[in-house]
Amino acid sequence: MSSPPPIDFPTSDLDAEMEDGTGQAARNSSTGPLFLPATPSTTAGTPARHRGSDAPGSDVFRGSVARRAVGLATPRRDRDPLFLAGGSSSPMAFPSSSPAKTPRRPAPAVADSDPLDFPSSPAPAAPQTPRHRRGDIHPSINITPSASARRPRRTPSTRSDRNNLNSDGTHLDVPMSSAPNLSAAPAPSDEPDEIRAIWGTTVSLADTMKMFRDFIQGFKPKYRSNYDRANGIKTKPFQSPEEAEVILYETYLRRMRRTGDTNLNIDVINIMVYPPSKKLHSQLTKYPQEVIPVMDQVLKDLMVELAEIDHQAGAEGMEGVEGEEEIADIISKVYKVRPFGLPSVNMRNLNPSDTDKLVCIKGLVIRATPVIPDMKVAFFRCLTCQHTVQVEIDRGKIEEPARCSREVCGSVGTMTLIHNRCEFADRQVIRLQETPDAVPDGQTPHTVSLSVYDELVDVAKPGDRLVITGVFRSVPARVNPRMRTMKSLFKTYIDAVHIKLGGGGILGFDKSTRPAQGDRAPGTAGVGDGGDEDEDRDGQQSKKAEAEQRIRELSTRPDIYDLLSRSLAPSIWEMDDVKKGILLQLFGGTNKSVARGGGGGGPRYRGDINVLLVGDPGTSKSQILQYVHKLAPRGVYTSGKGSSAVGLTAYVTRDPDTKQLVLESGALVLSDGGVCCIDEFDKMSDATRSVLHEVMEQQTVSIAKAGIITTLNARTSILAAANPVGSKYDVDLPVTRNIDLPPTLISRFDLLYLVLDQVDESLDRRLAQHLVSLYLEDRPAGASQDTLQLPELSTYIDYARTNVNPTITERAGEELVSCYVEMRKLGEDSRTNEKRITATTRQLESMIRLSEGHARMRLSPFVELEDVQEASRLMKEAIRTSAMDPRTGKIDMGLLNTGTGSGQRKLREDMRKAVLDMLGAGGKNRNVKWSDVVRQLNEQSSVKVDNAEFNEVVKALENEGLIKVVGERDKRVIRKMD
Amino acid sequence: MVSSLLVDALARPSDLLIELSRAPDDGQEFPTRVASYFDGIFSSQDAFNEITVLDLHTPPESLKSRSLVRFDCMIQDTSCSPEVYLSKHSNGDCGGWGLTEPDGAISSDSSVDYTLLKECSVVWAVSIPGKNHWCSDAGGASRDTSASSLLPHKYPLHSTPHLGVQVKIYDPAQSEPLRATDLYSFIGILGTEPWSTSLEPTSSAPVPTIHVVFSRRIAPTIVPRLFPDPSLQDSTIREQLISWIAQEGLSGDQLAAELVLLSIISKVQSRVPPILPLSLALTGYGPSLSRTPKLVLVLSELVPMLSVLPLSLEVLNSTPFIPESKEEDLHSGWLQLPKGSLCVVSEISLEEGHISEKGVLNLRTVQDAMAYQTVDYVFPFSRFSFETDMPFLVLSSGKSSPFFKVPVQAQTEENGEGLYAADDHSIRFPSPELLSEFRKLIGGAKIASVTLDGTTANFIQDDFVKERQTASSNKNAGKTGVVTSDDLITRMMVAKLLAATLHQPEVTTEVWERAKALDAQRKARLL
Repeated sequence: MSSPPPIDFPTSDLDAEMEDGTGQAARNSSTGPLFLPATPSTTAGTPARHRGSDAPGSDVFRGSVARRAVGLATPRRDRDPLFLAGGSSSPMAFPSSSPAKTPRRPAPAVADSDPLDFPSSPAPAAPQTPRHRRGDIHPSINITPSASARRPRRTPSTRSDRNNLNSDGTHLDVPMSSAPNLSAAPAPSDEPDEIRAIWGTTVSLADTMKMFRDFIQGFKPKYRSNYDRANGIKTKPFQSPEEAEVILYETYLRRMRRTGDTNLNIDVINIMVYPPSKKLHSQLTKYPQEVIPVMDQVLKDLMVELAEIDHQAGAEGMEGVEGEEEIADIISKVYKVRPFGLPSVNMRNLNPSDTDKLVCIKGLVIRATPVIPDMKVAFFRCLTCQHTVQVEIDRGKIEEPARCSREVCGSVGTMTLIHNRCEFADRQVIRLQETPDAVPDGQTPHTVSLSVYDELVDVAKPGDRLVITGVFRSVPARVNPRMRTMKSLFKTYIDAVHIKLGGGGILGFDKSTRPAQGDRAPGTAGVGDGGDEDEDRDGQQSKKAEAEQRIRELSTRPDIYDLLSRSLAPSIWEMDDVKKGILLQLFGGTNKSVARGGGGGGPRYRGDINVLLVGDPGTSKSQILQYVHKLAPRGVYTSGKGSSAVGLTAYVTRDPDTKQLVLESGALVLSDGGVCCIDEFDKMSDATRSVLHEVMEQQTVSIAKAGIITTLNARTSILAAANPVGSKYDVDLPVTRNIDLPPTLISRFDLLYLVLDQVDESLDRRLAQHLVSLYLEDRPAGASQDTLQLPELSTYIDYARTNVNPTITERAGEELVSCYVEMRKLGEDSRTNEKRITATTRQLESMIRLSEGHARMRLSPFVELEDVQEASRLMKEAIRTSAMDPRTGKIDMGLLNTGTGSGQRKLREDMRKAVLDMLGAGGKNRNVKWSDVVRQLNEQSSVKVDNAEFNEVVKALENEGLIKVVGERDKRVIRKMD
Repeated sequence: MVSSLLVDALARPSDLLIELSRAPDDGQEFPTRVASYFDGIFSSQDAFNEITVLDLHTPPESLKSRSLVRFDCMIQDTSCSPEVYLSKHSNGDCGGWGLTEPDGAISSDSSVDYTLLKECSVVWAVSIPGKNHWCSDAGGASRDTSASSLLPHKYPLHSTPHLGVQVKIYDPAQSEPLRATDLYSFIGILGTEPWSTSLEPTSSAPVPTIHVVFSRRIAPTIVPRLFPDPSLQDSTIREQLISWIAQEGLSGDQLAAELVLLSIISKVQSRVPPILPLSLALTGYGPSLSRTPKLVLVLSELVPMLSVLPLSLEVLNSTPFIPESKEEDLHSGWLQLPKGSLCVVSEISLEEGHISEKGVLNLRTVQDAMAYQTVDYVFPFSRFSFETDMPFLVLSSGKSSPFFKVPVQAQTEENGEGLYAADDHSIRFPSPELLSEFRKLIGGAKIASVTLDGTTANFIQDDFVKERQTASSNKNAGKTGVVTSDDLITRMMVAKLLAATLHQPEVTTEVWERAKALDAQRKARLL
């Protein structure tokens, strides 16, 4: 124990740096020169040189401290700032320690002269510990990785004696020559006296080191793929047999050297599946505090070794001086192992027995503090004798020295903290909330605190989903001075050692919002993963992938169309076509914009499908609307006549007609990108309707306020329900007469369904049976039919809407054309010359949208023949019910487009002639009473003259200037003009 | 023996805890032992009633620290992080329950044996919102106290005096089933501790805390009830009840009174298909002039829990309706009410004016709660939907509610005046015995499960088909004569509720006819 083993390879970095420093003087102000003084580690110091060199070093140090202190820390620095601090402070130690051999006395002397003079500070301990001080790891038994190098002189207890920080300088001069580094050293465990165990266990650190070393040097991808295969996890086949045999982590190490990364992410499953390191896996999870620093140390040693080997072999970029520089650089760095890949547990299941173990949890960041400078080493100075002391953080606490440690001085209570000489690290506290999918039913989500350090700071932002690997901590709650009882309470949190962003959540972050490099999860170097495959670790697929697979499976079902439409409002009886139409509306067509054209982009064609339901009260229209409202992304449901549609806000106002309070809400803008459900569409105010014209074709809303006209997007599908005039649909009248809506607006609906309440005995009976069984049995069995639950349906629709953008195939295009032509042909009647319009280009557009919606529903990238056929069928069904002219029994789109069908137009023509005749027949008496005209017409005609029609005819004649109406109401008189 | 134990348990529960921890281990986890031990002591109702009840009359401040108390409460917040405590003190006594380490044993460097750390759940509990005074057996002198919770944002009913207490539950078996808005009786040791969720413990004020030794669930009717209660099966009590509601609450409107009765006893029967409470809108209240509708006073004598949501523009625009987690503290909202309570949405003080975006969202949450019986809790980056179960009674001044479409609308006969209470004492009460019979009837009906047999089901189907046939054949007679499927649904719900109020476990053809008649009357009123 007394003599340092010369072959002890895990030398402290410091030693190596020192060694390096001699060769590469002043190469790098932050490293090289600083280490010049390190040479004395083997012999005596070269004071002249080191004196000269420490100034730049101190600058760097100061600078870095200052930056951190003011919170400007940039966590992604190549060089670990901690190291800078440590490294730069190391030379300071020397003048005061090894050369003088009396570390304590000279130091204060220098400090006296210039307190800010860093070299004066007796900070010899700094080189040993800070380099490996990781915020996330607090080894309980104070093993620093370099400890093995210093083993002869250090016992775990030395650290608790804070004086060692002062006096440790004596150790520094103990020659840890770089020789061991240069020679490939045998593993330390070869030495019998090397046995050191983790406290309270039989775990030997030396064994651990050896195992990890073996792992890095021996792990090959084949082990992992064998394991994966055995456990039924899909693996990517190797490109070549060599690929399975490559020493994976050595390649990562080389890559780290090239990229300058210092973090190695290690999948713990790899450790587990590599036979020689199997034990390490459980050691790592049980004693991360001790094992991780050991791994860090081994990693660094291996980095150096590997560099040396490459240097000697003259590998590319490692020849000669360049190689030596590279090695020096490596030595100057702090390497960190970041394990990950444990199966994640629910944060609810973390309990105190997990304290100080490695755990993995998933969660959603809800809050992140700004970067906190976390004091790592406190710098105290005695006010009396200027003696300075550094105290390291120990389990989250820094103990202020009660008295000056210098025997000569020994004054009590004179030690004061010198802030700008303390060392700080970045720390950030993150509050992590359970992801919604992990919260048990009916529970509220829990949160845990997460401390992240150094490179991991600022990696995660609120809203990110994370997979955290870290050490679970329980620390006594801060003692409230007023309350002693607090003593037995503990706070728990997790010190993160590895963060992975976007842990299989639905809310996965948009990668484009993050810089390509830099801001990535730590350890772009050698992340032991193959990229995204990582998502599927934990032995189970991520939820997202699972959902996607399920959706894909569903979409291949032959009856998917029926299944989905059945699942839409399952409690509503029948109405299959209506449900299908609404289903396609939910999927929507694709929005198209002409790429070429004026104004950078040309016109945009809406893909939104609008549906209008007209029908008798009590036919579940509102229920359908409510269901869609609940289902649709961003659905907005406005009920009643109040929705002003345009407003951005809502008002309660008194309806001028009824004096009742009504709600006016700005539904349309609110539902941009969704489905706007409007009930009682017919009761909307005229102003609102005029807005709807714009919305339904241009998909914008123009708002004039304070002299400024703005156009807001309202890319919304509209699902509207309207009651017929007089509350009961009159089948003898055309639609336009049944609905109090301007035809221009009606024509903008792609689908118009008449939902009529028809009395039919057998249908009624079935309906009654259905409802009675549903509502009167105390615990009704769920609908026996195979349906999708609302969330599933919603996910399916969401998925299709975001991922599928079908294009029209040639055949489908032809079919569209022929369907359209066929529809238009319906209007031709060979017997008469009158031309009815059965389809307009609007119908063609609707058909395209519906076909696209149908293809989308099948998750098909192409619109096929069947899609068009179904779309055309739905259109025809809808047209048949809504555009049928009850007088002629023929379909006439004119009814919808202009409000008058051709039959009606003919009728009006006849009536007009009759009226003119009648007036003309009166001879001199050009005035005919209104009622007389109606009476006479009724006598002439075989059908009853419709008052509304008559009004229209008279108005038209008046406009033409042929007649004039005089008087009011019943006393109206029609006068013929000349 | 038992009585001395009882006295001990009441007087010095902490000592009893420590003694129990010193007693030989029977293999159970200590918290479980504590629960069964104390539960055993207070197993009899008399013993249970001995425990001091924490309420507005006996606020925590008025009690000695570390005394045994009972708190009947609604769980408001279950999202607090659990707390970790040292389960064994250095002298071998148990930790937790706010017990302190014996003096002198506190030394900063004593290392902690992590295996002794245990977890306890922390929830925030508040007085049961809207609980009516007659439910609590104490009922004593109404001493006016200014006591109120230190965290008023965690109580659903805005600016209403209440108690809020931090509850620490050491037995996982007891804490596991706790859900927000559940009703529980917590019995434990009173103390004062900082509110645990805040990140900086130093900044939080100490709040009253109960260290639970055992707990009991409270029935949704608060007072346990029976269904069917044979003594209530002849309908005289029911008739009296309806006419009392009508006379005192609705200026003699029997029909509205009956509908109100049906509505207040309705509950969620099934979610798939949705058979939800029958919410009722009573219209025609006229301008309110800030007076209380008599009906509210009447109902508060009848139902165990009643909350009034005064839907004025100010309330709508500025107060939270649903619970929202802000700074990791779950703030409450008007709709965070226990299952089984009645929510009276009063639109009578509504004026014309602007509704802010928040107001619109608030309206929507009320609409959703009515339509789906779910209330969303808002957490950062996520929303959780929680099931609730409460009938809504909308009172509006005009002919219809501007905001809500409810399945049943009824118009009160008289407009205005008679519906409002002149002052608080304008209601004549029946005899206390009769009143308690009323409550029994309502409570029993609330927990009723009503079925129907095949013949009645067939009868209803035939009836529906027949009615539609006749309606369509003489269509010209009246345009609105046709019965729709919606009507059938409403009628069936009414029939079931009617059977429940009659304390009949089955819908009979007779009940069906009555339900039909009732529905027809209601419809006729709307025309």
